[in-house]
Amino acid sequence: MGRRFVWLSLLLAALAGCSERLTAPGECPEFCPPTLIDIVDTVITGAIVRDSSYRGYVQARGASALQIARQADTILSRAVLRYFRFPDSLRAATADAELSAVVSVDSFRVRFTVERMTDVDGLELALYRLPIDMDSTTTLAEVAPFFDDSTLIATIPIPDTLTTDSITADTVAVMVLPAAFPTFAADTGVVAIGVAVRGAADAFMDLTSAQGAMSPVVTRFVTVDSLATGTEVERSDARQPLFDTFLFPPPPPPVGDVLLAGGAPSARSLLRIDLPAAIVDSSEMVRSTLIIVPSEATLGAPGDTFLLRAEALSADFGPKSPLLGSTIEGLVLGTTEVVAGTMDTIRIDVTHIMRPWRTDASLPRSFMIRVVPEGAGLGEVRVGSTREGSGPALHLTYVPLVGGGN
Amino acid sequence: MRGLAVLAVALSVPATAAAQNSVYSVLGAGLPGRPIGVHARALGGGIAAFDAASAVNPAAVAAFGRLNVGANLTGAFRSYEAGESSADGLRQTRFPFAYVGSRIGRTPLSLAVGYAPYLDRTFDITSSDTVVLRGEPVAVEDRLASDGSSADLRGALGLRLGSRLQIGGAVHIISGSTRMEINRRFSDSTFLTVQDSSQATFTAAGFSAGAIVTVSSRLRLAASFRSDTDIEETVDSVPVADVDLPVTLTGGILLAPHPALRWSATVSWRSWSDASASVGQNGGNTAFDTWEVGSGLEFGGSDAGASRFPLRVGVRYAQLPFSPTDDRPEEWVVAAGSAIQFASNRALLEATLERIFRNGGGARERVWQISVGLRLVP
Repeated sequence: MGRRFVWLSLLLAALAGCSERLTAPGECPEFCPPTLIDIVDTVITGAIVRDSSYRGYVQARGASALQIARQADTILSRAVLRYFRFPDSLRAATADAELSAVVSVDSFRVRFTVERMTDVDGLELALYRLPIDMDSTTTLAEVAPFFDDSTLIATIPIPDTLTTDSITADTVAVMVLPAAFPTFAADTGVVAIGVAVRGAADAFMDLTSAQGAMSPVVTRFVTVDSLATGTEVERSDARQPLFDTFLFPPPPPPVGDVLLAGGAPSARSLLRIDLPAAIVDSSEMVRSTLIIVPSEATLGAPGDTFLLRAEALSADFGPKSPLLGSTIEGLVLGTTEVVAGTMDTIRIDVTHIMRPWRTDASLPRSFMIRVVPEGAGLGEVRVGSTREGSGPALHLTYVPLVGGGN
Repeated sequence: MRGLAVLAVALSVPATAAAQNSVYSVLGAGLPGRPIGVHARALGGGIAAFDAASAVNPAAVAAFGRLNVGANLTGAFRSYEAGESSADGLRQTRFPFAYVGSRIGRTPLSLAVGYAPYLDRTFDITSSDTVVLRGEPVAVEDRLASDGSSADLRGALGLRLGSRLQIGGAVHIISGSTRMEINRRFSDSTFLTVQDSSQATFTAAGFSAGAIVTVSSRLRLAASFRSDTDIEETVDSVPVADVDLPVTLTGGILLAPHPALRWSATVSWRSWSDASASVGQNGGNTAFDTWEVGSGLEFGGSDAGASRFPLRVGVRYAQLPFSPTDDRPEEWVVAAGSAIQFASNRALLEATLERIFRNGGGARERVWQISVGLRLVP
């Protein structure tokens, strides 16, 4: 009896423990459920409401790059930099407790980190001596006269191998004699430099600013009278900019009540979305694209391309709305490249922004459109607004969910 | 006390654990389940109209004397061909049937409660297609899965009127749920994958009545009637469908020319075409009235005093109610089984092996199915 019961138990256990395998190819539509996955692909023009633009987020003097450009043999944009003061005494040796007087200045080395996004060859940086009384109120008209051959202190050839159509940074430098800064002593050890790009064709270049990853640096090479040994020793010290910016003629005013993004100071546009609940609450977004048709040719340095990004908000406080922060996907898909001087339709993938709206009702149903990095270039997009009856549109591809996605 | 414990165990099995799935489960309201025990399965369902351990005829409940508890375990191994698609090696295990029944005190009344499969909606389908999105063809891979069924919860009361007549009535609550999952992947990764799950619930009610007449010691006849309300399907609390459930008419005959030899047959007709409007609207399927005929022979068995191990064989023919075409699918089943008593005849273990052939509507399905049932008389 006991053995029989064991066998029976084993039989039951074998059946109960049998693993399941159900997944099988379907023969649709005959042997598939009716329309469980339906997909809708549509362009909606009236979904963006209460759009607004605001300017002043990042000033040129606070941007991570200084864009210099030339067009039609004239300087379109130029960088100006005033460096921290060099002291008149240094330690002759690291262990010295006392400072030793600088006997003489032997030379300077001026170094920049350059990002070039152009295929124009034969470019060079032209460095000019500027007055040191520059600050945030300095205008283009005030510094323009100093971008002259009489104040030219050096040129730095830019290797043609340095980048083509992608962002690549490299360092360029030039040694200059003390004569380049004849008022160095009178200016109490402060130097100011203006930088322009020169070449045979229209071109532009981005210099990393003091707010960027690789700050411009002026290194001074000096002779110091050593107090300890009574001999003169060679030393060097370096200074970063106390103030840097780039100056350019004001762009033409926008025509009409348009939306703006980019420029310097940077502008952003806030787009608020009003979609039917059947789409935003009861459907899974497969792909959503913001379609922007510029109302005029995009502004920017000749040949420049810049990045336009749509970002989600963590709260909608109007112009001061905090950005939610980009996901890795957002960096890839929420950004698109815009070519300056064109009126091509701009498409930005906003799927990763809109998709969470269904499951998180606390997220504002808004985008902020901006150029990245902000304030670092002349690139600016101008788009018709809803007030002009020509606002951006949304191209949505979505799947209505079974049961409304509850 | 021990009986109550067994009852609790038997009824704790979830009602959604129901019958085997099929390529036909995706059609219409689903694949109708078979509310019969392992014994009746071995006889092709021939004895279903007389079997107290099946949920076909409530009059059969009157046969319960002492407390009876029973449950089934079924394993199915399946293959099918449908159009260009085919699959084999599919397998599934379910607890499709359980009951508890007993005479009420010293009265001629007996009561039984239990659950049985009603409509199976379990499937897990993958498919490929190409859709045009934004003017470009994009390949997609879909997976549509549904796991669950609606179960028939029955409370039946049987009455013995003398030694020749049993009558009975039952109320039925049809309830269940399926968890549906959809998944769509696009070949173009800029289109994000869609994943969604939802819960579909089914609710209906019904009643049944029947009678069994013992004409002689060698002949018994049975008949039953069942009617159910519409079954309402809600997905995530939103009503989405209302399907007319059929009226069922059943008749049976049981011949015992020798104590060790019994032949039985049961015939059922169901008015599934009532559901034509709703299943046609929701899935473009066609619904048919169905006939089902089962017959079986049983040799021996300890009750007959002939042998300890009865030999049961049966054959069954059934029409399936839903089809994607005008071709009504059919099902043939060949079955064999036996049983063994143990624990001083207080426990009965039964086993049935079935070979199921389903054809029609553009598909062809083959199933090996093993059912094991345990009956306890505590």
